[in-house]
Amino acid sequence: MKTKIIIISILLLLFTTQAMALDIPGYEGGIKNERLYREVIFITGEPILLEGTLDLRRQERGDRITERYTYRLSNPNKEAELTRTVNIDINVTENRSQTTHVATLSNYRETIKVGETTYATNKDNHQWSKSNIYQNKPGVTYFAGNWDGRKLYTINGNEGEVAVETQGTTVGYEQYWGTTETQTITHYIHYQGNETEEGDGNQNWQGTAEVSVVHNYTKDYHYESNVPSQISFSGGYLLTEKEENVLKYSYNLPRNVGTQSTSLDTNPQNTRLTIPAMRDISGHWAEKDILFLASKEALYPDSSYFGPTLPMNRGDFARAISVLMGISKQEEPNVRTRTRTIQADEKEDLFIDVSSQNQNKKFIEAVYEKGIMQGVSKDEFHPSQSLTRAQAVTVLIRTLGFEGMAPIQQYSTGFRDDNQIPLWAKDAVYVAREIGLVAGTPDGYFQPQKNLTKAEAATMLMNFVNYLQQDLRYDYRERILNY
Amino acid sequence: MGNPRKILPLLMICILLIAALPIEVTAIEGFTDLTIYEGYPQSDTLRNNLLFRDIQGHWARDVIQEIGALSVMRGKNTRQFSPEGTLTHLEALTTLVRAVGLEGEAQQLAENQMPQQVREIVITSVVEDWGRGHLQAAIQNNIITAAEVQEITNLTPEELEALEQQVENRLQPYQDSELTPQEMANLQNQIRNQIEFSRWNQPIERQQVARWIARALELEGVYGENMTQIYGFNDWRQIDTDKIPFVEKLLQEGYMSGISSRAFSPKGNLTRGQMAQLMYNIQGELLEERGITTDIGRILNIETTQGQGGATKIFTVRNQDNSTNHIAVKPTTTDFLVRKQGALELSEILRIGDTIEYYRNQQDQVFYATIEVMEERTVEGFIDFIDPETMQLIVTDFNNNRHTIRAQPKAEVRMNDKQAAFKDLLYGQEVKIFLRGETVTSIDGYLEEDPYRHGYIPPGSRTKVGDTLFIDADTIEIRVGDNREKYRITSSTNILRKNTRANLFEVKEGDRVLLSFDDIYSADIATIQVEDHERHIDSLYRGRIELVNQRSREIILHSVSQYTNGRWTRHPDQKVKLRAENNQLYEGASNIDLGDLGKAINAEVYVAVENSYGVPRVAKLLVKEGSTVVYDNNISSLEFGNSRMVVDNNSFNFHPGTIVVKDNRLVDILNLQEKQSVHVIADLARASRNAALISIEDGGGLLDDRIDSTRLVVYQGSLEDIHDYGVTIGRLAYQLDFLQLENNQWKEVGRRQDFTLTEDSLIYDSELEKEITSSGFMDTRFIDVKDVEDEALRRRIENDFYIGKTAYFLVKETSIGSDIHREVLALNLAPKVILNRGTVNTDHSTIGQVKKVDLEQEQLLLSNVRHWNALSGNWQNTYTEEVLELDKAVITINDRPINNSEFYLIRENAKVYVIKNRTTSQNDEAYVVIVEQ
Repeated sequence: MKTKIIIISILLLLFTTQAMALDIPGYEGGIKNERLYREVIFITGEPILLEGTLDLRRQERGDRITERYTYRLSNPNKEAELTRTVNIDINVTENRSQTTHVATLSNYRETIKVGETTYATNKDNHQWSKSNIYQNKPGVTYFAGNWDGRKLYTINGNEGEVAVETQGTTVGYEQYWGTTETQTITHYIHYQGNETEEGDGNQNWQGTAEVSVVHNYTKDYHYESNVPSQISFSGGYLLTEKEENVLKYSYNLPRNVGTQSTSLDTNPQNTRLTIPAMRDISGHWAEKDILFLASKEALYPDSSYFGPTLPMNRGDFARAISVLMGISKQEEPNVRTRTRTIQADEKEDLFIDVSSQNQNKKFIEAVYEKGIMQGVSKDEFHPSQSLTRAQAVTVLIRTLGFEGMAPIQQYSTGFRDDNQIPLWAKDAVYVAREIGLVAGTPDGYFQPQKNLTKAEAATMLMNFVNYLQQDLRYDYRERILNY
Repeated sequence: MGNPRKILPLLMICILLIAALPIEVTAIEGFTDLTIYEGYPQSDTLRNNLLFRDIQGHWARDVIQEIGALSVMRGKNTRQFSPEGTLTHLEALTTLVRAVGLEGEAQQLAENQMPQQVREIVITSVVEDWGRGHLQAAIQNNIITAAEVQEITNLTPEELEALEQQVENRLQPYQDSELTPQEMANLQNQIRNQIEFSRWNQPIERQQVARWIARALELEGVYGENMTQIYGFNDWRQIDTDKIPFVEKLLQEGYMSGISSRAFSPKGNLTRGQMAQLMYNIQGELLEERGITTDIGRILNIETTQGQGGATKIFTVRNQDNSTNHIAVKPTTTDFLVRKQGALELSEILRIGDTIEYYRNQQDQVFYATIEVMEERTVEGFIDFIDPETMQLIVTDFNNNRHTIRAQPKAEVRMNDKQAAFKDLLYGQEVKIFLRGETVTSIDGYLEEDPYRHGYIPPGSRTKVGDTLFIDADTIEIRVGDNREKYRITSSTNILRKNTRANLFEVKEGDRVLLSFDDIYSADIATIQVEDHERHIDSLYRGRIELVNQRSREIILHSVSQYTNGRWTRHPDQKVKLRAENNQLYEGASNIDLGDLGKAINAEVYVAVENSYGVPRVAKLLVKEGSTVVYDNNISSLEFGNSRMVVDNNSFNFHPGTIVVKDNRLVDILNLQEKQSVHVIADLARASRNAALISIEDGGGLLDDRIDSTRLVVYQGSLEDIHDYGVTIGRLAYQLDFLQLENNQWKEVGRRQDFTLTEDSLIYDSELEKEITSSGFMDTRFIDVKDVEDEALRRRIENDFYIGKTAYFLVKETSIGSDIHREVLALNLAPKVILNRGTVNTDHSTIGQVKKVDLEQEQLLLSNVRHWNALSGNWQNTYTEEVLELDKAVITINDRPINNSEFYLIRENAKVYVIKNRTTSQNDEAYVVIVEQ
């Protein structure tokens, strides 16, 4: 029994480092859902969409990751079949808030059968190298990577060769509300058939193809109202998580050009959210936003009163950001082991004005650790102080890690009260306006020093959530695929 | 109450008792997160007790006030301090015991050893008892040694005798009382002790004070070569051997000095004023021991609030370490002493902006503050050395003086007025350092700014995404959310589709575009990128709602018809599943959500469908309200103000929910124009027609004037002449001028015209189905076929000789100012059958949409085919599909001619304009095919 526990805890420790479970089905330009895997091949001179299964095994040990992919695909209409096994070793290097992955191929075997023709390649005929860089910002991890590969297939053993040169680029982000990875792969295919006995001349052609693959995971929310009216709650929010995978390919093959796209979704995963108790927001213009945030427990759900016109305070804002971004305090290492001591509890408070009675304590400490919000001094946070619009926007932009997108030196944000915007908030206000997070008043004022009311804060936070769900995805998916 | 000496200690007891009570909660507690310090009870009384009359003008006035406020030394009474009075042993001891914070302990000791009182006879005073207590405390805490006590209290035999005599005298009055012998002995003892103890009231030597101070401060003596100060005094030899190292230490620390530069006077006495100065010098060392904390801060705000128990005055203080706290006083009960320029006052004299050093005790009560008059200065110069670890800076100022400065961790650092951290400061950088006293309050770093780089962003990094509302040669108006925004198109604006360069006219109304800009203010667009066909309207559906799935954001329709070839035809599937992710759902003019739609089961809806990533998706949906009427005609009148238009003499209302489609794109109602040919589907409800779906079908506009001042023109004529990169078009026949296609009708044009020919021009002989290179074509101009005499040869080359032959000219016209540049894109040599002297034209135009490209047969399958009706001047819907043979045609895709091996480049859904010639009653031949995709 004891050994069992130890083994389990060791296993837990091994796998806790795993990041968000984004199922990247390899680097061959394919998409998958729970059941199916889809990929397109161009080796015959026409695009053939293959469908089948992909088995992915991933192991993480310290700074080494090994991935093993087994593909079994077919397209009965075209009499095509593909089997492929890929083993990839990834070396992980951590560097402050950045992580570098360097991947190499340790094993490769691929056989494609189309009609009577068999194309085959193996590790010796496949050179491949890939590297990714991940930058961890407080709320979002952004990454990008590239790979290059050269594959040489033999045709029916000795009837010729097909060389495929592949260049891949990947870019994406991971965050609580959504994760997107867009891979763009270009192929240069050089087909060289040997002269056959029938004397139909040697076939020789070149072609290019571009495959874009997007793996997108989004958290979405819906209000589900109850039909009976005699029920303690009239409805509530449901959080659904769904993956949407898109494959878009365009090709320029001999006498054959075109663009096609296909997609695969996963079944939504549902979670019902808390039913908030507040009643004083019914009919308020921000009712929906407040209700959702309270359902998500980003705002306190348990009080009958919310006070939408009251000022938002720093502690509650920290809570909202922390919950909405899924940021929690860094746990002490080895928490999972049984030798947990009480020492951790005796740790001194981070802020003298955030005592252990403060319900927002863990959230405040989490956002502080992540560098999203700072204390007003070395050891004070002022959790009950109200928050100006400039401060709130700065917090949001810092969460995204977008400070660097602002122009350098002196510039105007374009708001009519630009000179009222404190210098420390200027970059954030500029970026927030550019990405559509804030719009200002209809007559063009930002009102940086105005304190946020709770309703305004809720609206701003919901804009932020919607930005994370959709707008960010547009920049990573549609912008790459459709333009 | 006559004896002031008695009142003071009693008062102290009261104060101590009050101080020991739990801190009273001030009114502001709970309303602020800042730490709140209280005032000190009875501060006004305390102040009254320190208003000594005899220190006015005394050199030690300030230190006496401070030492008094810190309760280290007290006055002889409330009005007298007697600064020139000689310091006694007892006073010195008491002062030191208080200074190390042992007063309470001393008083307790006094209480414990108080002799039992004999009847009601009071012998010793409280002061004497406490004196004894202090002595005891001093002994216990090693301020004074037993040997020293012995030395001070040691009596010579004569003194002893005198003492006994005094005791006798004092006992005399009690001799006759009824005291028991035991009580008598007790009384005698008390009197003896009192007289004995009075020896402590003798003046004390300076060196003795020095020794005690050294012990109180727990200082180590200085020995050997480290002794430096003492030898400067001529009388150093008079110092007791055991005290020399400590006197030296005190001299070195600067706590004590000689009476003059040459004399220390170890055996001399001290005045009380001098003692006050001494204590002032050392008090900094002892505060911590007494549990007193000092902070220096600036008063940011003073507020008075009314609450239970009277007014509370709240000072907000920003401390040097950048922490902030409140000090709350209730002027009637708790307050604190403030020393300002030699006057001892209460907190009421404090003003916003004052910098105070304030003292608080273990109960977090502020009891005393001094107004710090601190020099504020700045150091400006360049960083010579910087160590981020220790936060040390060496700055060379403009006068070449070096300043070593250590910053506090919380010192504010700004870089070109923006918030920064200490580690951001750079070697060599110009800085301005603000100091108050020796404390760095803030550092301003300056980096030279290049005015040309103000507001610089990497070119193209500012982007805007929106739907094209209007576009012309130099402006594009886009809809971003609910806003309309206008940007400028310049000659350097790039237009990209699928990362390839495109023509401006390929950006259509309704296209989603991504505009990028090179700088942050400019409205000049650097690049326009057009989103591709994933957003084009794939089909128009009419169907009934069967199911609405809010969770996966899908709707399922049944009884679906599809609008194809100008007709509603049954969709092959029983049910059609559509994604509905955007919020473009309407019921009448109002936007609804999926939940609302879920309540409209079985309602009939119109849907514009886009095919996004292989999945059909709702681009816009409108719930049908009423019976359907359909019209196909031109808009004869249009009023946006009234949301009204007239088609076929019928008035229609349109609204935000109306689906308007043009060029396969969902467009805005504002894109409607008068005279446009439209297909309107309207709901007839309450006798008014509400347009549900408007399809703008203006012949594809392939031959219209384009926004970039170009247009395609088709001519028919003879090749009058061929030049170097040029051709001249001439009359078709005698009395028949060459023809130009204008508004889909062929018109005679009189003047001869020169067109430019290029290597890129496609020259096709449709009779021979042969492509001719431009250079080959031009070379033929040097041969006159009539010159060839050999008939066989003449026949052979006749085919390759072109002057005089008739052809279709596809010409791209570009207006540059008032000049028009005409360039031949394609030239199709085809014999012209002239019927009835040219009055009957067998050429006609067809428009449609590519449904399929058949590479083997070299055919195009067109859908939505419309023929031009030259009589009515209308496009006539054929309601069928049509197969187009391409073997005789010249084809351009987006103004680029393609040859017959490139048919595969034609994409599905591309728009085509075809010029056909009816050669027989059965057969149409396409001669010019213009494709836009």
